Amino acid sequence: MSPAPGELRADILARLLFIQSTAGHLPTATGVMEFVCRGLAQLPGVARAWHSEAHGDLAGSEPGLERFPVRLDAHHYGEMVLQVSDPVEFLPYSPHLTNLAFMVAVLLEERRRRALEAVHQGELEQRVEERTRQLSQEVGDRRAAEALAVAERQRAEAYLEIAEAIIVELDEEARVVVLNKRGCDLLGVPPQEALGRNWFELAIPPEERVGVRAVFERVLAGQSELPDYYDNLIVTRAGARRAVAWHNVALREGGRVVGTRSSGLDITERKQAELALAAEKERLAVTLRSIGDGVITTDTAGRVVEMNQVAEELTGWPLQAAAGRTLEEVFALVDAATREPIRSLTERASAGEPVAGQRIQGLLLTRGGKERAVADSVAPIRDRAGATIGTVLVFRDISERLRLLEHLTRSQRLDAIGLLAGGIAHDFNNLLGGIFGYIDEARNLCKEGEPLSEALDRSLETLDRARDLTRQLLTFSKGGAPVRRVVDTRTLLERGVQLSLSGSAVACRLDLAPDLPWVEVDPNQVGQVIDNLVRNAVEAMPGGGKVDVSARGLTLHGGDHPALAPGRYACVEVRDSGVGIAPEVVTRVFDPFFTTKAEGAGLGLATSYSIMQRHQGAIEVESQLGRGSTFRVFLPAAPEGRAGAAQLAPAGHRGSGEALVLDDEPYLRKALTRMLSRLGYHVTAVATGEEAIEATRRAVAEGTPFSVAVMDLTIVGGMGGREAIAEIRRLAPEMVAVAASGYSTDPVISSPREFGFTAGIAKPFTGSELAQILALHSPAQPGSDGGATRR
Amino acid sequence: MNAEQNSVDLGFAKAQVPVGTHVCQIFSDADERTDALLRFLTRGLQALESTACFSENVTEQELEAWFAKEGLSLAAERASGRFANSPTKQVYFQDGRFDPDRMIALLTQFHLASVAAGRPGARIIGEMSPEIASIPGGTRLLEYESRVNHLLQAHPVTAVCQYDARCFDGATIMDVLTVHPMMVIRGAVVLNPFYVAPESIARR
Repeated sequence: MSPAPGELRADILARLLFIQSTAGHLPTATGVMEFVCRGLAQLPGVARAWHSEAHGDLAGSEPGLERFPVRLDAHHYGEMVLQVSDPVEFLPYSPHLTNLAFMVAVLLEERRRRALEAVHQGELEQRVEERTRQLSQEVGDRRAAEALAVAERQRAEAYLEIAEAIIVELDEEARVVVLNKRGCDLLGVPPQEALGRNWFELAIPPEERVGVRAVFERVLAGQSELPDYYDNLIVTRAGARRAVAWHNVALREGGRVVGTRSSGLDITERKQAELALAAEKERLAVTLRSIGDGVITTDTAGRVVEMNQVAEELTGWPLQAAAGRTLEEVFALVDAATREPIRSLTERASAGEPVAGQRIQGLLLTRGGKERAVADSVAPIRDRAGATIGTVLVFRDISERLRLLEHLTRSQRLDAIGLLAGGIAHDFNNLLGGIFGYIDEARNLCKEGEPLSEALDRSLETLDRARDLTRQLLTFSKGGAPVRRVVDTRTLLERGVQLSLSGSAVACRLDLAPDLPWVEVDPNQVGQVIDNLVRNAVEAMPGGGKVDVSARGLTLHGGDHPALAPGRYACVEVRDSGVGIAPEVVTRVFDPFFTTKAEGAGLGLATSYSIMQRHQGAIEVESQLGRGSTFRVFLPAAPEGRAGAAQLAPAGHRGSGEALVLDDEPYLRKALTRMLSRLGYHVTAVATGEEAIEATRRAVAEGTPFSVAVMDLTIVGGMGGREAIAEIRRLAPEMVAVAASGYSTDPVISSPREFGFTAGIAKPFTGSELAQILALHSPAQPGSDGGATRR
Repeated sequence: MNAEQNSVDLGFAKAQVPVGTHVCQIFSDADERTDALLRFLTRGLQALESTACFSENVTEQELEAWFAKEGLSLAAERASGRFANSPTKQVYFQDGRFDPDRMIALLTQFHLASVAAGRPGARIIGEMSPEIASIPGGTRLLEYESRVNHLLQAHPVTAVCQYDARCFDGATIMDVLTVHPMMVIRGAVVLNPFYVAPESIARR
């Protein structure tokens, strides 16, 4: 398999090694550079390569040219200049070329020093020869010879004295034989004190002594060559450490090493500068790492030079891969709405436009193909002379902030629409209640099989749908506070999904994690949400398919989710592989009356959204056009200890004894009376709160207290159940008092016990729904289908 | 060449190479050159191969001494027709010009003669002279070396080309590398990463 563009190729690395191995054969620096550059011209992405004698400032590089200085310490051998035709192909080799340039520099420097040594050696030999000749000539005149020798020595000593380098000569016992003035000055010891002293004890700090001595001893023993160049610390009399770079020569007699001669340069300042530079770099790196925003710096050509970890995470580009690429490639920004590339601030800054203080927002396309909403700002980097040498880009991920903003905006929009819809739905609902009651009653009066009975059944079904619609409207609107119970999420989902998919050809995979917590929710409302989502999923796959419903436990911490408080949640996902939702409308799917279907009121998802909000939960969607959608619902988990204690309501109820009905609408009073009568109660119906209190007092006095009461909360122009319950509860504390209201928003319906009631029920309701409520809260009666559990 | 023989010992490298290999040796030390040349020749003769040498840088005395050390007689090898040597310029620059066609024909003939004589293989070592840069036809050096790669597929002569790095400029040395599939580096024969196949050279 051939490597992808931009990947390192082993054969190319082999070429670089090969160049390095073979270059040493070329006798001249020019030959070496010709050979090397000819080879580099054959690297991937390189159009041309040549050697330049210049060793200038890299910041002034022309675009498309890569320069690799051939330099060792202070010695420059020009630079290898590469004209890069394909930066992606070339980039992986850049560090290797830096290394190659260094190795070439070492090769050339070694040659230079060897040549220098040879010259020095030649001069030395010449001098020795001359001196020998002179001595031979002057041997007859001993005094003259001695004088000359003294003069020679003095001259040599004078050279030693003025030398910038430290000159030190050691005998085989490492005793100082020669130490010039510079050496003495540096160590802070007078010459007479230094001569004859052991060098290691005199000048080498204890922590380095063992290592340096070992090298010296190996050289004396002929076990290794004396390293030509060697750095080590010396210690002055005052205890200061100085770094010295040594050039060493072994002194031989008859092939045996009898000592060493070394010249050293004090490189302490250079070392300190290097350390300071390294520390400065480290400080900069630490600062960059600790910044919570992404930071990218570029050179004047807009190529990435540095980036911190946050920038690496947000862009998906590690610095190693990003370095040298254009900023536009690493930081690809597009307009969130149009998807058009945004001209970055860096580009504008490079074009000379004033950008200081400006911020732009857009979608960052990461290396892995993700999108992140970001805001960025940019500033020029200037050198001490004020010249721009690059730019620094600072950016942050604002996805969460936008999500929160979107969440708030949607909430406000839904509130406004809900207020309007709720008012209409409430009146309509009251009317429906009456119709429902009478048709229900008429149906009960019919015998099975009668033609009228069938017509009434259809009427009830139609009314049921009308009631669902108004309930959805009411639930979506400001009201619909959930009547919470602790329920088993597993059962809720299994039943809900089964019900929603009945009659559908779509298959479902239900994946419920073992850690799925019980939840404290209104099972009817949440069932409605599940139903909406599953039906949506089915409708998104007109050609059939599979719906994946999964659920798991999830603990959120502060800041994990913009709309959710920290705590434990059941996270339910409904995933389809259907048509998906276009990006431009995906943010509107929770808006009321927004629908992409030919049929449908556009209330399903709006209602689901509203329900989840009132449950202090959340609902969100991810979708890709043509690939499907995933709706995710977060349900607050039930407090520890409450899970498992709840059961679902029994299906039926049979009562007995006295019952009280309070409603100012005559048709509702009649309908309720009939419902309760059929359940086995003897019913007293009244129209006002005052009458209800009086009837209760009388029943208690007669020894036949009401066992149940169904009370309308609001009576036009008089006392309703809300006001009457306190007195009634005082008279009949054991009575099961059910609050009924067409305002499902009424807090009494969702939290009846806080207002003195036993339970709440939203109008309109059927006889069986009332029976379920009574079954849950009344003592078990013969004929009931099972025991009810009180909350 | 023995039909079963598929690798040969160059004499100066650690491992054997396939028969018909085209090897380049870049050197910068006279001893390195002579050592490789003499070992290559004597190992070929010990294997009874047709062996030829084109170089100005080895003397008769050196040849005689080395052959004797290896138990061979220079005169006897020449007489048997197994060994031949000539100065580079005589062979490569005949008539004062470099003619790749003539050289290719020469190599072909060398191999055919070896086969006709029933020898188990054929090998040639030659050192290129820096005069190639100024001789008429000298610009066709790379073309020639590239064609040798083709030729050796049909006429598997094991060939070593010696180039003295001290006598050529760096760019020429790198160019020469591109036409030799194998290289000698520190006594080891390695695949040359800069090698460009003859077809690609032709396209250039």
